[in-house]
Amino acid sequence: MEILQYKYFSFFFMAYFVVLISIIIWFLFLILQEKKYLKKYNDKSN
Amino acid sequence: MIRSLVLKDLLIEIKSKEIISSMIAFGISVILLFAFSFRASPSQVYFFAPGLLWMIFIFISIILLNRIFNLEMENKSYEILFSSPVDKSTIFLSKCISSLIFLIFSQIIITPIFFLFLQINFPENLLFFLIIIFFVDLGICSIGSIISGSIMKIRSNEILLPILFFPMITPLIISAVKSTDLIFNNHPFVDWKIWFQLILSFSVIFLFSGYLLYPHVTNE
Amino acid sequence: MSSEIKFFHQNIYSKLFGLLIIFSWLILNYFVLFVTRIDPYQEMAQKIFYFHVPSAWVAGIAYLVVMISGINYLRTKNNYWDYVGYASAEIGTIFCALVLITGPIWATPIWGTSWSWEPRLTTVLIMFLIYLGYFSVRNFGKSLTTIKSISATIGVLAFLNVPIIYFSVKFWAEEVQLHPQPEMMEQPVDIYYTFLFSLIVFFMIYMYLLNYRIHILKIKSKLENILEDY
Repeated sequence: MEILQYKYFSFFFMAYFVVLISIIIWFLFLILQEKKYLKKYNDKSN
Repeated sequence: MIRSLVLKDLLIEIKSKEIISSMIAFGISVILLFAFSFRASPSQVYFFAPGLLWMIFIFISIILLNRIFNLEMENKSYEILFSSPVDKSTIFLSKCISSLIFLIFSQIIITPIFFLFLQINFPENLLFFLIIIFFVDLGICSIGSIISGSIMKIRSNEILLPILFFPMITPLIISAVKSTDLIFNNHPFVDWKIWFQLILSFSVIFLFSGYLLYPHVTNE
Repeated sequence: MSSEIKFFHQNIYSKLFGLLIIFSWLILNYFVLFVTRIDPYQEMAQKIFYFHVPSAWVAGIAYLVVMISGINYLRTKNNYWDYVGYASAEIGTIFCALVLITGPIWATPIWGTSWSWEPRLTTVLIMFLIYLGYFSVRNFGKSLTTIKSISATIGVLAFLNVPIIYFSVKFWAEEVQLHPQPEMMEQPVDIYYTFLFSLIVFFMIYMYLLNYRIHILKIKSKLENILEDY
């Protein structure tokens, strides 16, 4: 892995994971929200 | 129509005197705080003077903008106002003009006190200074009226107004402080022309957009 | 009585779209890491650019969508436009925060300082603050019509403010014009196409999250309608 030997790899790594993880966290948040509301809705409407 | 609406606000104010008196009292107490906090030599305070002056004006305009629409909330008089055959854009313009009058009136009293207490010489280019103050006030009142007029029905809107109002007026404050600084130092018009253009475009854009948006915001 | 609503991912198209995004994100990673050239001075730090700049573009597009849906909501009072505006403002603020985080990470080694009062940084920061105000309006009342109108207005005013903020900050701090302003058309082919591809990927992520959020907001409002009937 020659890519690891370049300068400032840690900065790139940090920025990359900040972007990736915050998108994933938001996505998980949306899944939980959907589950919560949909369960309530299906309970009430039947 | 717009004249009678402005006259109504002025009459209420002349009878109760609550807005202007609280603005002036608050402004002077902030000046006192500044005078005690910056107990430096007058020549040093001179560098901060434009920023301090505009900070005081922003603080007193928050009081004004909170009050000018909450006036209508008392006894639910806004229901009568909105159901009267007046164009809602006209109501917005009238609020804008009456708050502009209140703001300028209290500034006339506060500004000399500011220069007196902080021991700074009064600017020589008084005319330019007044022109800048007038147009920045127009900008403050236009965006302030649209924000405060739309949030007036939310409870505890006093907290919400500064949160929305302060970030919105950053460009206006940057231009106001910069141009006031240049005027204090007797720079020619060419130097602060760009700031004057920014102030003017800010005021015109938000006056116009408020005029267009306000009827839709209050429309239920 | 009312029909059952499905999960967002029970729709085959949204599922496929999600898989497509994961696939193209992996391809993007490959391109960024192994295909594009290494900048002789900034080396790996330059590659933050492939995530930083698309985030900024998506934030800008998201806020533009907030303004357009705000105007449409004020005109028509159709709840759909309110959902679009709300969802878009949330995603725009997330990407705005990403820009504000990745920017200083890049600036720390290259400029030697994490923050400077530079026009673009300051403009993004002020936008971020304005939209935090937008969310505090939303929190003051959940789904009242008044709140919807107010937040639509704030969305419109905030986007109108962007060019004015940009120019005022630009003239305010003329001595710190550090932000790189590359002409994308003059870049070498590998950088240019990878950048375009990352823009497309980020825009797809935006569309996906927007649709998902609108779907949830619709369920939420239907739920509230049912609860009112009880």
